[in-house]
Parts: sequence; structure tokens; C-alpha cells
Amino acid sequence: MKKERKIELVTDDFIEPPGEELNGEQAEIDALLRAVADDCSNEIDFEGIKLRAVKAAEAKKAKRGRLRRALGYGMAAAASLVVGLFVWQAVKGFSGVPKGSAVDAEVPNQENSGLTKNDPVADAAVYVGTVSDDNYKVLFDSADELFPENLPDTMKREVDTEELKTMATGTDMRGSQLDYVCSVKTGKLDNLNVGEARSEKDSEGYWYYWQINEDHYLCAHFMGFDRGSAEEMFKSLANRIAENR
Amino acid sequence: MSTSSFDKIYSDYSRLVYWAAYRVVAQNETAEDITQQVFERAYLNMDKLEPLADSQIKSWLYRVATNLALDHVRHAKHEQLSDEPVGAEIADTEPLPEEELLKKKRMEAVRKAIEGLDETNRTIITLHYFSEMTVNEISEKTGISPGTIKSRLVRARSLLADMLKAEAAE
Repeated sequence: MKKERKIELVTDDFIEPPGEELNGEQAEIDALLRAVADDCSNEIDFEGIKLRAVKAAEAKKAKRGRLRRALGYGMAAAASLVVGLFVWQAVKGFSGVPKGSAVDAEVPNQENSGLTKNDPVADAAVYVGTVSDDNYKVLFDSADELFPENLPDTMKREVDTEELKTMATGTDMRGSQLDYVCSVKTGKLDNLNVGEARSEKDSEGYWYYWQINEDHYLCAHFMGFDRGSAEEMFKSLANRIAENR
Repeated sequence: MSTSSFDKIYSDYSRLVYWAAYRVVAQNETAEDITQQVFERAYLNMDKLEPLADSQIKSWLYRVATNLALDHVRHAKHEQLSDEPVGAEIADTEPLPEEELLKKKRMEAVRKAIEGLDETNRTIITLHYFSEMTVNEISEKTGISPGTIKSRLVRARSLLADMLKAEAAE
């Protein structure tokens, strides 16, 4: 017991009560600062701030839910289309899927060289939205737009404006490594129509490809994230960019 | 997510978050907006925050508040910001009872004196008294040793006492 009390007394981890360690002028100023800090804090409408924060968070949750449902329906429709095409082709006696179509599960370009070739996991393409040629330069002028809003704050961010590329690295709350790279490149991917996006998995994480217009596509790589988090961040990114058109 | 957990986190740390943001942006309204954004994120991430220890939650909130405040300053650097005088937001046009008036004057004088300190001392005073952070927590955030923080607190209090005496003598 005595030992514990001693440790407690020598620790720095407390705010010195006025009068115990301080005396004279120091104690007076200490008390004045505490009183003024309390008075100033009492002037702030913390209850109002809390209500606004909860309201904004609830609105965001509802919006995410709507987007998730919409994308879910899109995925389901795309999956039905894949099944339909497969059945139709089987009936016609054709065993392959035309290269370059939205249902092509092959890696789309050189960006996919790191994918696990024996076990490619690719989702069907879904329509996300487009960014016009005229606006895309303006939109990505600072490249700051290439960070998802819900990217963890613990990640250190870097922007390469010339290359239209953003990177972030850090760890999650449990200390696991997280990396994020996003860039806009010139070109047209074989297996995506304009406005469509698809995701693929490799050994490190999830790739998202989005043909934002005829001449440019966006590529985002989420490493160390689970599928749900990666998808949510890509949706947030795409949603904001499409909204900003 | 438990609403009571969010309520507790808000009750325990809203003051810390507000003053952490205010220290960077020095504007009441902006600090309030940042506080709102920080707790909006906390609300959306309660499932991740709930299992964490209090010190981790506190540290996360402080970091998010500081990052958002720095982002705000970076984005606003090209804008013409109003040079809000210290204590302007607490000015009141209504006549006040004498006691209230004295309190307001005291608040304004102390805040003005704090603004007159150099950045390091101002940061330490703000974090210790307004954000209610311990010496060790300030040391962790600023990278300054706890012993130096303590001696700077003593020095800053002496400077403030001198400033307030000079102000009273005018």
C-alpha cells in the first residue's frame, strides 16, 4: 500500500492542485488561469456542437447506407447479367467471354502485373459515374481530391500534383501496416466502359479501376485494409468526385 | 454502438478537443466547427473507439483535432482571414452586472496576456489549463521533457503575472 502511494505522489501524471506545490504569486496565477479557462470553456455551446455532430454523422450514415444499397443493387444486376450471358453463350455453344467486355475477369492492363495470376478475383464492373474531359484537370488540380474522405487520420499523406498521384501510409489503431496509392492515368482500359468501375484482389490488398472518361482512368490500391473498408473508401472517393463534376 | 459511450467520450474530451483546435486556428467559430467534425468522426467510428483505453481515445481525438485544424489553416492560407482580436467573441453589447463585467474583463486580460507569450509557452499554458492535459501528456504531444514543461509552466506563470500587473498599472 505504502509503495503505491509513494509512486502516486512522485508521478507527473496529475494537474498540480493550487497551493500544494505552488505558493505566492505562482499559486495566484495558477488559480486565475484555472478560473479563466473554466469561464472561457463555459462560454462555448458544447451541447449545441454535440447535437450538430450527431446530426451530421447520422446523415452521413444514412447517405452511406443508400450508396451501399445502390451499389449492391448494381452489383446484383451485373452478376445477373454475367449469369445471363454465360447461360446464353452456353446455349449458343460458345464457351468464352469476349475479351474487353465488362465481364472480363482477366487483368485489364500493366497495372495488374502484381495480381495473383493463378487466382484472380475480379468483381463485375458497375457504373459509378464520369468526369468530363474539360473538368478533370480542374478537379484534380491539387490532387488532394484523390484521398477518400474516410481514409484513417493516422496515415501520413503525400501528394504528387504533376503525376496526379496521392499516397498515404501508416498503421491502423492496432498497429497493422496500411498503405494507399491512387493515381489518374491516361488511357482506356479494355474491359471497362466509360463510367464503370471494378475491383480486383491481389496478395497485398484491393485494386479499384474506374474509367472516369474516354481518355483517363483512376486506379486506387488499398493495402492492408479489409474488403469492406477498401470498398467503403473507394465509394466515398468516387461519390465525392462524381458529385463534384 | 452505445450512445452512452459517445456521451461519455464527448463529456470527457470535448473541452480538450475544442482548445486543441483553438490553439491552432485562434478563432472561436472555426474551433467549434472542428470540434463538431472531430466528434462526427468519433460517432461514426465508435465501434473502433469503444475497445480502446481512455488514453488512446484521448490521444486519437487530440490528433484528429490538431490535424483538422492544421488542414484548415493550410487551406485558408490564401484567403483573407479576419484578424479576430483576442476576446472579441466574448464581447457583449448588453449591459452586464458588475460581477459579470469584472469576470469578462478578467477573461479578456488573461487571454490577451496569454496571446502575448511566445508560441511554446502559449502552447503549454493552453494545453495545461484550457485542454486540461497533464504534464506527461503535454510532453508526449510536444516532444519536450516533463521537467522542461514544468519549468516552462513556472516561467510562463511569472511572465503572465508581470503582464497582468503592467496591464493593471496602465
